Amino acid sequence: MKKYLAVFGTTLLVFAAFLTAALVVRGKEFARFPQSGLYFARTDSYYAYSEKTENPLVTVTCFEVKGGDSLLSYGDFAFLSGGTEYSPLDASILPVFTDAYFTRYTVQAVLDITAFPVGETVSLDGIRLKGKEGTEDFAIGALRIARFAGETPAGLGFSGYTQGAGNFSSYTVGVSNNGMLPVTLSELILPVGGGAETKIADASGTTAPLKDYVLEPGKTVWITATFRGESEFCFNYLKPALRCSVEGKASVFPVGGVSDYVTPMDREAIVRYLGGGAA
Amino acid sequence: MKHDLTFRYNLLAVALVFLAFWQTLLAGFITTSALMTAFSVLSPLVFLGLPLFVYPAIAAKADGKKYAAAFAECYTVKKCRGGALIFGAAAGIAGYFAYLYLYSAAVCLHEYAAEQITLFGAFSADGTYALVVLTQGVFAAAAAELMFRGGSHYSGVLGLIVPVLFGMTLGYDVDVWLKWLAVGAIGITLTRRTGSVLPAVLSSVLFSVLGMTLGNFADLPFTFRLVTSVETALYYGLMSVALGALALGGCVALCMAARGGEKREKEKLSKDDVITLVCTVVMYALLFTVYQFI
Repeated sequence: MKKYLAVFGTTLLVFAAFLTAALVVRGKEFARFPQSGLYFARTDSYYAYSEKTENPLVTVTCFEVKGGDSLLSYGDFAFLSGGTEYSPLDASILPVFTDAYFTRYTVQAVLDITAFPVGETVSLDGIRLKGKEGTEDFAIGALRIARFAGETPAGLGFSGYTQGAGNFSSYTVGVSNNGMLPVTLSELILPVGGGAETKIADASGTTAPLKDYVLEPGKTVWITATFRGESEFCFNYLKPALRCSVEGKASVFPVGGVSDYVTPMDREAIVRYLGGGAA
Repeated sequence: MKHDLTFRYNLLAVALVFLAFWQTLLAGFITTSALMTAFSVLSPLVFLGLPLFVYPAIAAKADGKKYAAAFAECYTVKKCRGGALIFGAAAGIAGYFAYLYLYSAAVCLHEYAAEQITLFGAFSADGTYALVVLTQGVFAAAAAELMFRGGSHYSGVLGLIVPVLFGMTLGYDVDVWLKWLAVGAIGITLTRRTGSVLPAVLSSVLFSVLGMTLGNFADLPFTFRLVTSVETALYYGLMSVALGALALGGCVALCMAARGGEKREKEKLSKDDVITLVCTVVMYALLFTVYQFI
């Protein structure tokens, strides 16, 4: 046999050996993940919007275990609520992380606020992916959209709110009465899954349950909602509403911006989360 | 006997002009991607041209009586068969993939071992400069001699070690070491096998063209640039070893299968040979010293 054929034959053996080793390593790593496909993270979110304010921007997280359909292979999607579709006005799909085994996406969508009835809360519990070969529905937990007709009373301001956290523990917002009339604070509307215990604290640090608290002109208080049923992972977004009254006239209106409660996850945490039955 | 040195002088001119432009490029005066790509594609001519053509051309001009005939005999470009060019082209392409995937394998497996995604760092230290110049001069000059004298003085193990060291001493960066190692080893082997420098030039230019196109504008599958996790680094590292070995085997087999060179009998080193080699070493070391500072 000619020498160069022997050399090439030897390298073929080396190629086969390392290819086998690579495939074994790949198979072993894939075994840590669930079956190939898409897995949407379960959210427990609440977005309160005024009748006249902007369209809601909602966010969900998707994990794609490689080897099956890719999220990007679908051309369109819509959110579902009891079989009713809510198509986004605009959407973006951002790959947050990708490697040989999985990709994490952040899916953001702008919804049409006028599609949601005033005074009601619509719970979007699924997402429908639409592709050339048909549609597929996935559960996303509960993404609640509420639309209120009320307006913020004159002089009532918010001196900051919780921007977000890595765990779903609490939400705080400062409320200042810069008007001429006392305002009665009745309820911070935050209907998340585990419920919340809401308290109010004044400048002296005295705390009390939030129930018909009269906020005098020139005063500031802080309302804190502590969530129950905290889990290891969260993919939640909050934009609560506040119920209050001025001179007996009640109104409900949204508070602050959207707070992000998304657990920072390393690779092992993602493997653990997906192994725990994300979808 | 009349020797045609036209090709050598032309390549020398290209190498020197390119060298000047390359330095301009590095100085930041040339910023368009088209020009940068063109100059980078031509860069092998500098590394092949300087050691292989500059000194012999100068020496032949300087002392025609003593050395010109010997140099012309050794350095005149010989024609080769069309098949040799095909082998040269194929070896250059296979060599690039071997370099790419074996380098990728080294990076990936290093990342896996270190448990973090990081590239090899360039290592440069005070005091190593003189050693680098010396080794560049010695080994590059020896490689030049090997390439154009047909390897009669440097056959066997030394003939393999020299081009390896030649490649490794052309830069401080591991990536550059491996790149020029591959270009040098392929070029020298092809020249020895075919008896002509043309397949070597063709292989090095194709190697560089692939490096500039695939290397800069596309991320090939299983390469280190696509690695984003330690787990992927192991998988891609093993795949890179497999693909690199396949390409390396193809490249080596192509180089071994290339034919056309005359079989030379082993010669003893004469005094003139030693003087030639020493002069080449010194001249090459000086050239690289100048190159480092301009």
